Amino acid sequence: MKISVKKSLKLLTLLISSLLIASVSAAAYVTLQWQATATVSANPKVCFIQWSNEQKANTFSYSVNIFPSIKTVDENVSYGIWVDDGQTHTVYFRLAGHNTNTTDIAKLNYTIWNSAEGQKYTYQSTTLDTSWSGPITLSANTKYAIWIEVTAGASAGVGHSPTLTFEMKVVNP
Amino acid sequence: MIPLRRTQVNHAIGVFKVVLLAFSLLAFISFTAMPGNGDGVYNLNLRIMDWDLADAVSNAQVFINNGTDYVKVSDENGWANYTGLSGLVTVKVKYYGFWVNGTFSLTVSQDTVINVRCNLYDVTVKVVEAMRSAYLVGANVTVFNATSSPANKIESGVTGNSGTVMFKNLPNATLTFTQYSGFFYSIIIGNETRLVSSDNSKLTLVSNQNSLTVNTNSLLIALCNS
Repeated sequence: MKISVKKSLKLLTLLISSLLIASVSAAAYVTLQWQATATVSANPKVCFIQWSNEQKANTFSYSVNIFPSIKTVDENVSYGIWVDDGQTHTVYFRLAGHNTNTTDIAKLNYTIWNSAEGQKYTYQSTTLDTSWSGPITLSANTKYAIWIEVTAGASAGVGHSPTLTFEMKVVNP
Repeated sequence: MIPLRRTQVNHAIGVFKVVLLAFSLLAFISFTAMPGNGDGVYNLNLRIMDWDLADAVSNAQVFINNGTDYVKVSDENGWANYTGLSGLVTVKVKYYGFWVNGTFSLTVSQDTVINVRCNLYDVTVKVVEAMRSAYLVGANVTVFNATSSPANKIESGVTGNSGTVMFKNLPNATLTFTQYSGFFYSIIIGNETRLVSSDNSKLTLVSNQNSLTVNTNSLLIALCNS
């Protein structure tokens, strides 16, 4: 069997390139895995709190009924935010996404607040803006309530179930 | 014939004036002393008022009986005025089909003015949705004296920033409260019958029809800056 050195070199180059691409992909995957691990770590010192039983949570779901042309207001949803730490923490908020007809929700407001400090952060949007808020400094050892207002459009589809996903990002949890 | 002297004529005219004045005064006294309109009957002016006596109520049916039944509808200032009455009179008041002042009696022996205090109550209504009792801003609430058809409508209002609307002078009765949303409030979102039984009472109505359900998921993202 006759072996071409030129062809062998080409094959070798191709092999090395493939290995390099594979290793870079693997590195990116590892990074994502690390972030995921950080997200699901045990309750950080800033987390959600279920008011009814004072339990900490990293996620929660909440539902409310709305009606065409009407603003529905819940001044204190079933969960709040708890800074269970002796120092302040910086957080960011955003509406991460939604699955809704544009005619269903005409306006969305939510406010992070407590009676001592008033409104800490307010989101107001008629377009369901998904950008992150600026940094919000939450006080040490403090609980905050979440006030939500949803205004349905005049042509909102009765029976629809729009879904909204919110995120709170905590730095140095 | 002996001609009268000028002084005598003046004296006679003076006497005549005094007599005329006396007669006039007597006639006036006789007229004012005469009861009512002069034949022993009197005026009865009833002003229909709400429970706290703050509002005069128009369009109430006022029934009186003085041997004969009389019915009047109170005017825009709450007045139902009767003439030609004497003796025992019974009075009762109906508003949107409900008796709001049971029969009471009075004896009319002079012109009489009475404020009639009725069981008409101010009520604050709060409208909430069913899942969380979150309140609704901008909901139309219409009160009916029976089923929710236009002919039975008593009063309408729209909830304000606290999800409440105040109704004034609702009759003491079981009433229908219907809540509406949408274009020209054409969508019924709730319907309840509730007893209105006291002044300044508060009612919470639950809207549980023709809704959308908003589902939210909230996630915590923890980032380590290192």
